[in-house]
Amino acid sequence: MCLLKNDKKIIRKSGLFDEKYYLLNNPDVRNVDTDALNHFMTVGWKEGRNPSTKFDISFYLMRNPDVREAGVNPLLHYIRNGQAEGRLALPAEVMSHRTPTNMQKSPPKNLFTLANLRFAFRYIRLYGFRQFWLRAKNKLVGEKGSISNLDQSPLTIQHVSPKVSSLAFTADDEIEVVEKTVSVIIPTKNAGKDFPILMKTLNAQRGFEKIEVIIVDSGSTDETLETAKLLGATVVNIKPEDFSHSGARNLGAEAASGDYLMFMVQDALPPNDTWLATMHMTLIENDLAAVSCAETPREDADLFYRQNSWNYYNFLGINNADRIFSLPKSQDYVSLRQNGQLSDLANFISRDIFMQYGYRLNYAEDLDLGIRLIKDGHKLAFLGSNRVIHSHNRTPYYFLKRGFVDNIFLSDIFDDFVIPQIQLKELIPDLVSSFIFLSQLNSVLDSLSTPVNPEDLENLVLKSIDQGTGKKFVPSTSFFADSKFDDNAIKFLEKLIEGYDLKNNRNIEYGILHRAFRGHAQAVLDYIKNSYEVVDETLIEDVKVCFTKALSIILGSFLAFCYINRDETDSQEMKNLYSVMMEGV
Amino acid sequence: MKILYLTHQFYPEFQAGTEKFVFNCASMSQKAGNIVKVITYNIASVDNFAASLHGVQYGEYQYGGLNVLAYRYPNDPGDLHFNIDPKLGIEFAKDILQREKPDLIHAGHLMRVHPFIFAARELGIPYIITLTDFHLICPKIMLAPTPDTLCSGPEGGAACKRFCSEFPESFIMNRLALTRDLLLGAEAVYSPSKFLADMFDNSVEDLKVVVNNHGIMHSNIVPHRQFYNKEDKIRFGFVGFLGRHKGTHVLINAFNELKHPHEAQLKIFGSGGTDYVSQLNRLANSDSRIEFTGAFHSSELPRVFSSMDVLVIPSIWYENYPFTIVESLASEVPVIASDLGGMKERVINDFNGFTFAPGDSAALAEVMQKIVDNPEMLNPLKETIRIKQVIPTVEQEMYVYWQKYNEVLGVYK
Repeated sequence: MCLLKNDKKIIRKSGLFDEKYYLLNNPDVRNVDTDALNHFMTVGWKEGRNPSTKFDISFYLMRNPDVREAGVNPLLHYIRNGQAEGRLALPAEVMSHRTPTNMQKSPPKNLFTLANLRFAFRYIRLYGFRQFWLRAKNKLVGEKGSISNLDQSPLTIQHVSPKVSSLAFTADDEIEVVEKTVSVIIPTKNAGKDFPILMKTLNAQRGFEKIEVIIVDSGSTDETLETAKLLGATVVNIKPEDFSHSGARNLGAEAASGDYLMFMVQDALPPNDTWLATMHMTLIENDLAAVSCAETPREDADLFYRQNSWNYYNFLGINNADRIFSLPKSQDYVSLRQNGQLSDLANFISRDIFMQYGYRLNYAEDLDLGIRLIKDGHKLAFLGSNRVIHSHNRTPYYFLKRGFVDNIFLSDIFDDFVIPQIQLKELIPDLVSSFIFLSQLNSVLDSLSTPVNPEDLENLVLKSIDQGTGKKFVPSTSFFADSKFDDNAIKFLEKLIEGYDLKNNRNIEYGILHRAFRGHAQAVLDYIKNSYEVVDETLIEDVKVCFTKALSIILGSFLAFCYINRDETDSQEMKNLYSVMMEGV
Repeated sequence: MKILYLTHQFYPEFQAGTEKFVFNCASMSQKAGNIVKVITYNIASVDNFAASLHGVQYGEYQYGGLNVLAYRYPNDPGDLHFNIDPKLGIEFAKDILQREKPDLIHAGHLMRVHPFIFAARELGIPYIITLTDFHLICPKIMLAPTPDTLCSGPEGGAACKRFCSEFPESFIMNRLALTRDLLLGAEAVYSPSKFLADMFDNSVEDLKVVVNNHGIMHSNIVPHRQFYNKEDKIRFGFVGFLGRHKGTHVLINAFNELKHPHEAQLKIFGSGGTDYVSQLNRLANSDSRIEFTGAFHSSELPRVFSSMDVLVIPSIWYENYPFTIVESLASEVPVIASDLGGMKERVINDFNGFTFAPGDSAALAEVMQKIVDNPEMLNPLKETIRIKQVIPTVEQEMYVYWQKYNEVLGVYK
């Protein structure tokens, strides 16, 4: 762990790793929202993925057999030894383009190795010639200044001192009350038995002249409406069929009288009674248009949810920091996502600004609003130090849908979002192979003698994945028997592969899903290494469920790509798929 | 970051309130992305220690996803439970800390495991303390000189000298000085109740304890909704350990004094010492309206609180933060409790229940009789609890610590 930390520090300092370049050129890594450098250090360099335009892994290994044989990270070798020894980081013609020195030109034929050609063929097939050209161009000439670093503006958050025990009876300290009103807006539908706790905690918030809660309810049949009225909330009713994520929140805003709006969800919970006041103070003191905050999980949050949040916050750079967002120099997909994110779990915004913009779209309306705000020159903040309690344990079927919906949306709003050119009929054998592999991996995990340390678990899992890569096998559909998939997922998957003649697809190879799964598995293992010293039987069970959900979200993503790539031969099937996937997310 | 949690005893052998708190704390901290380990003393077993260091036996095991290091001395010192000897086990503790390299230590109870705090101070490791009882200011732990008396704190050792003369004065004074040193050296000292915090603030000069109520797992709570009419029969309930200090005998005596006794029931949930339970059975005198239902698993809380209309907590000692009271209130079941210590802090007359003079079965019977005669008086209490009573969640409780950890270690600086 310490060694990895030191190595990362050395690489960061060298300037030879470019996070944006890495994420833009590796869609499977991007889908995981994992720490890019971590991925490069643990997996990426072994798979020949370049860290930036300034260093070519394949070239370096080809030119330096001693490094290849030593099996060490070539970039680290270059920084520690190679550079001083005069070894080249890039083919000479690339270097000469960048820095006119006396380096020798490398023979062009070296780029046309069989391995490179095979890789190029596969890459073009999946991602298209344009992406291949961009990648090749990056490799050959570099794109100076095309990718900006995370905007790491320092942000000082003055936490309003919580009354700590104020949720009971005993606290006696006071905080300054500002003459402002906050309207908390929560779309609801059967908000569940924790809803009264949310309402009471909101009513207990301090620091404002008035706090009103507005719920926009789309057909609750449980105690939600009764609780809301009993605890003083304003209720706006809409028909279930009229609900949309944007529309419901916009309606709530119209009914609000507050100077500020706080958009929340029905299963989130403020952690203390000064949570709102801290958001407000952050907004005022930093002259921001809106402030969001990270979530901290509930006590029953499963491993998948926790690692997903942790990796996502690493991606946003807020696990150990508060960040101010503004329009980045580069407006590529990754930069906009990293600098325009707001979250509907907790979105604090002045009413005046919100009424100018409103929410749009029926999905990811928070990200869309954030990007519109920074494009107009506003600043936002995303806090890691002030959090909202929230998490939910969803089924694999939900995550299958979630992967689908996320990628449909992202491809809609970002022009540079890369879509692999894959069709459903090509994906099915890949799907079957991945699910068979997962069932085999579960058996391997079952046979593990616990407790083990996280590094041993990592080695075992990655070895199993790597041994599976390129392996041929006879397909079957019996892989659900011992799986962690829920009944809805199994029904869906059985229907999806029904009608595909798998018998004629003998000797399937693990393919693109398998590779994407490796990225997800690595992200899970990174989280485990960060949070556990020992892996016991309980955690192994969690890992199995976690991998099942990870594969579900990957499959959902690739089904979205198939939908986007649909043609006349499968358009009806794809439309049916679309309506099933969009329902209930 | 890596955080070590200290407690005098732990699961699976011990499952009381402090163990629950330390488990929640360590488990939530792990879920927040920290590496955690619980360090505890094991008085229950001598068999499971695989290693030895400086003559101290120790071993590791996993419980509920947590890594636990348990140790014990080959021969327990006779004063192990109340001595705060800075030399006892210090070399062992230092070596373990140097091996574990924690960024921070959070103590849930210092009985037996105090060497780790002395070692942390020597090694410059920051620590915070959550008080869960009076151990640090009372060698008898409960501020009860005898089973039927309570004292109001050490008063600089004067009370100990007067009420607990079996302890030499020099021992008491030295112990209080060490306590003060340990507490003032902490980055912060927390207490789940104001009562416990005030007791320490009044006993230790310059100390300022911060109150952070224990949270509960609301996922395990189901509100008991009922509207009472004049003719309804009332079911009183007791939940807890059956020991003299818990005052169950006071409750049975009060129940026996009720007029129109056929109109009420008493359910007693819990188990305890054989002698005391026999005494309670004698008091109950085979009355079919008094039911001893035995111990129950925490997952059965909804069943427990749906089977009673009012909870009675008649303890004749202070109690610090009785989980049973907050679980009852979270279940929207009003509480009758002794007007004492941590109980009277949670139960407010005519708001969420009633209090009575501790140990006074006649006073308790009077309150119970009023409810038996007027069951509908429970309705406004239940309504108030539903609307106004806020019981923190375990996540809200742990958030306070999460923020303190970040502050001490400069995470967001």
